Amino acid sequence: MNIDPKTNGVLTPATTNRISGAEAIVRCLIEEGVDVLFGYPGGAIMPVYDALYDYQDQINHVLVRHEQGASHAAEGYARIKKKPGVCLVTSGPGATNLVTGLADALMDSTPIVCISGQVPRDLLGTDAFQETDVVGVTMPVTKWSYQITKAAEIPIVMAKAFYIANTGRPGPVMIDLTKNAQFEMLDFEYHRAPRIFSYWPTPKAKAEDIEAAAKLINEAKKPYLLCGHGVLISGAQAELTELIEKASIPTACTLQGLSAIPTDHPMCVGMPGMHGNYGPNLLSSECDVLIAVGMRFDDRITGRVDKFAPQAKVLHIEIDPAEIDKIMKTTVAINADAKEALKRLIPLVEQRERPAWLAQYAECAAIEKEKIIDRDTLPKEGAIKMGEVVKLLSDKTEGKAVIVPDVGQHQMAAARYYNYTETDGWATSGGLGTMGYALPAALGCKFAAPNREVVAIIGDGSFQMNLQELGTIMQTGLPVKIIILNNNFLGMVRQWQQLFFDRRYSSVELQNPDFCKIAEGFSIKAVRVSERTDLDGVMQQMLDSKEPFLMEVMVEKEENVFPMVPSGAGVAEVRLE
Amino acid sequence: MEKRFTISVYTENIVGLLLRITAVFTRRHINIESLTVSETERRGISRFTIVVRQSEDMVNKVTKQINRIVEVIFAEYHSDADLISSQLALFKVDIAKEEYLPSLEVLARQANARILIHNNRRMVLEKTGTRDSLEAFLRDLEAYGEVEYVRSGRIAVTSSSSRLSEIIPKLPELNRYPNYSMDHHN
Repeated sequence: MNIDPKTNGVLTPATTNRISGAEAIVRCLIEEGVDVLFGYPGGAIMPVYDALYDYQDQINHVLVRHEQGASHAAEGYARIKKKPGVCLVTSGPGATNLVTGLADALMDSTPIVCISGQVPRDLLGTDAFQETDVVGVTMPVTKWSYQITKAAEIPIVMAKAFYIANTGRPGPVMIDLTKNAQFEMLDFEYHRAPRIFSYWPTPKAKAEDIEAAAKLINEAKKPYLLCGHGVLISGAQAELTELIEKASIPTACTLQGLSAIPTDHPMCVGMPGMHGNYGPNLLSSECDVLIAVGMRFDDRITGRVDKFAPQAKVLHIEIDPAEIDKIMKTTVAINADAKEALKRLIPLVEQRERPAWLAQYAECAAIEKEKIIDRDTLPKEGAIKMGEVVKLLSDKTEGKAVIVPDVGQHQMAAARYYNYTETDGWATSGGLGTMGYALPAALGCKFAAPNREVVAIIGDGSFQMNLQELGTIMQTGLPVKIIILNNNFLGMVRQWQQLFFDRRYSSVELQNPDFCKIAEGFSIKAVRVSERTDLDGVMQQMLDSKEPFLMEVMVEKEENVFPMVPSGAGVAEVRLE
Repeated sequence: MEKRFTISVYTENIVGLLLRITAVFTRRHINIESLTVSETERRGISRFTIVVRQSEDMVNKVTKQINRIVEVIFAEYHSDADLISSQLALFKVDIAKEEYLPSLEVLARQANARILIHNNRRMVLEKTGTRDSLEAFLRDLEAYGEVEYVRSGRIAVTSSSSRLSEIIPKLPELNRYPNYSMDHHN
């Protein structure tokens, strides 16, 4: 999907004939290599659905149960497949239901292309049935949006949409398509966009910046690297690994950077941030050079910014120039794609061993293991803990599954206790923190990686935000595995209320339905686990299943996620209890 | 320290871009002091001139966020010292007493204001200048009767050479790929 800058100007062979706008949309999708789309029909998009009828052998349309589900499924697909996920919806409510997914994709740099039907051009602005100003509503949550009002625009706009979604810093694109444009005829000719006027997605690293960066790393005594989502997006895993091995740089993967390097890599020191590991947080106040690759210094990572590594010189490698100096003042910035920048940087970086510096991380890891990790993952008695479920899953799948957590305490357990050994093993809603993400996103991941085990790990609260997508999973029959970690609480909010609001539990306790019965209602096999002794057997049954499977685990009701950096504190003030 | 900055944004001329650009300010709760949009010397390329009162750090961040909008060709900011800027204002004066007329004409001449309409009871004047000079003129006019006042946004050029003229020649692909240029918007 990425356009190689070297082939600028080489147009793909054109295909021509006279077809309807609706058919043109489908043909554009095929030209872009789309083989699955997630959608929901309705009045204003019916011509496109009619056209799809003739292309069923080329495009698999997945009928979701709610358009938000379509958006997250497309996100999950895009994250693992590394090409845009596609949604097709009707006007009005169909389009507005996508808004959360668009916002989520924008925050997490996920390429999705969403197409919504719209009332005919002549009715625009008249409050026609199911009319919404979709471009206006979605404008702040899209990388690009466009309203097509005549069929002739379709091939050009669609080519732009796919190009913009998946180049540079990827993001969501919204295309609003009036009904008349779907009926009109056009001479169809399609060229994938070779480039776009006024849009320069891939800045080239400046030689002087690369040299300055190498100097900074070579002179560092205690370097520390933050590996972000950008490493996965640009496919720079090998380059990053080479750099950190060569220069012995302890490396923490951000929530979105997880699985870029194996969790058990000798240079991997865990995850930074609010519920990250002890070492990366504590020692950020000791590092002398902070290297950030493809990440944006989210406040959940930095804590209080003026207390975040104030002693360190900052090297920021980032493709989006607007992220450079947005939060952290850089000493050296390389505005480029991570892979390209790292490739050029590595030869200039000197080999180093840093046993003393790495030993400091090991020391922190030992403290964290004793105080938290063992307690979370190896409890001998008492209620089942989230951590031990994740740890068991990790062991059983050898860290090779695609883990799709929802948002909350279970998400942190999934991030902390799964031993990621295979790259692109993770898809989560990080920036927006969208509850309800995991169930549809896991389905999208399964479409992208049918041969990998895909496991959604979901809290009881999150599950109820999009549980209708069990219907979609049922209809596709894809073996998505679902683990509900049920504590009958909105656990993360409850934890905050306990720690910072004096245990005043305000609207966080859930009276839940019988999740297993719900799954069974969707013909999905489901088993509830309440005893530790059953955990292993049921999980094995789930993993062995060739069909979708839901496993509900009753976990400790008032478990807290630690370490924790309290909101507004510096990350070095990380609390272990 | 807050200071007045002028952000110049060169863009493709398309529907909806105004909203996308102003949203960058809205998100950060920044009030726009003035905003002018017009075509440039290049057909199809528009120029937004946006004036804000902010710290340079904030203006720098905002300008970068505008720069990443797809249809923005480039955006840059300047402080007043680097700019030659102007605003246009119209003043409609309902002259309180007929005998004021001669001195009002003198005042207009001194202020380099043009008289557009003129009769014994009403005068419409046009004046260009900085916001401060226009407001000072308004206060002077108010001595002669009730004044209706309307002022345009700021337009500005830099005292150095234009970046647009440097950048445009670097876009030869425009002609090679007509399909992907702004032409399809017209």
